[in-house]
Amino acid sequence: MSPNGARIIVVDDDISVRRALSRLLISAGYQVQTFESVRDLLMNGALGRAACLIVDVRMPGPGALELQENLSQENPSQVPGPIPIIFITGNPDAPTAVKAMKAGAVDFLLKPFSEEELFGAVEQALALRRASSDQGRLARRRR
Amino acid sequence: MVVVPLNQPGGGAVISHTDVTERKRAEVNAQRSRQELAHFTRVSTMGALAASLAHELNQPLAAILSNAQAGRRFLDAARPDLGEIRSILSDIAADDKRAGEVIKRLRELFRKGTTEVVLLDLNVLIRDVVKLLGSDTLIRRVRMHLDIAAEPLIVAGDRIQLQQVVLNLLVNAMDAMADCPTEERVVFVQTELCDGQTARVAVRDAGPGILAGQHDLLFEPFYTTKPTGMGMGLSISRSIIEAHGGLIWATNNPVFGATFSFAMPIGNGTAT
Repeated sequence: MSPNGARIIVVDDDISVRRALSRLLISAGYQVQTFESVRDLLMNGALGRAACLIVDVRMPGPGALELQENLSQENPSQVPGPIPIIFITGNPDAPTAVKAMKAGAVDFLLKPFSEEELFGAVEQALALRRASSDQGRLARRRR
Repeated sequence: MVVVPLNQPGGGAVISHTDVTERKRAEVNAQRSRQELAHFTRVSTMGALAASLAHELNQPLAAILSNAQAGRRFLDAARPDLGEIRSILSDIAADDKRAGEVIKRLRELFRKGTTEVVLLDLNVLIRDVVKLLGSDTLIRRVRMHLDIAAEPLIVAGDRIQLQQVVLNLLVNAMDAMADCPTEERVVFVQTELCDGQTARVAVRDAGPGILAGQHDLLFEPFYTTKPTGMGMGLSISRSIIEAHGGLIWATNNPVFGATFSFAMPIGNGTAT
């Protein structure tokens, strides 16, 4: 595994979860930025530099599903595609999970999840990101 | 007659005429089943809260696990940052306490309650239960007719247990009419004050009525005429009403259907 300092954004309304996830990702060599809400994230403008998002499903205000919808609507034909999202939740419900996966979520992790599960999902997200970036470069070169 | 020898140097024995062991045991059992019923009712309403409690527990659990795994990884570094590890450990302790608080609240919600006797108005209690059944009556297309006594029917009793009895009688009445044409599905609920000292409640349905020879069996445990019934409702209802110094009985109506009634003594005072 070589994270190469990829930037990961964590959005969770629970400060304890934010701190813990941030530490775990840092301990594996990632760069981490955390936000308390989707609104804070969107206002900050940090999205552009992120390689992957880890977002809680249920928070006051918009959650992971709404963010996912928002990002894919913003620019549907965007190349590289929307930033990969990993959903995390403390209260799994099947309809939300199905919706998230159908809309292209990388993974749907149930709290409490282990480092193996988390890093597995993050790796997958970063691989997706790399693949779509390569496609993007190819597309630009063809123009 | 029971003879119990005394284990004393001087010998001797206690001789008693009436063995109340069985009666006491039965009383204790009845009390326990009433409490379990009330407990069950509460637990089923708590089911709705289970999801939110799962969330509240999984948050600290997630933080604890990630913190612990991060801590171990930090320790593997060439020069571990002890300050960071110290704050990880404090966070773990705090989250553990937080999870403990959730469990504590949970336990309070699910704690088995004991009987609580208060003065209450049966008329109000019945109206409340009918309200509670509102959407159920709509779905089953049953009409409820209330004929409530003008004067309050104050009795001394446990609110949850008496609600359970009324609920049970109303649901039974609706069940009994499941195969009736919609226009015939009417439950008549009547309350009245008899001779100034007894409150009487009657629930009349228009179902098939009680089969000949089954009157005595109705209130026995595990007796049921419903395909999915447990046969506990009426037997528990009887034990509740009897514990309140009352009586419960069933009769067939002159034309069709059955009437289930209970009566209990009027209490002294005003409802709380």
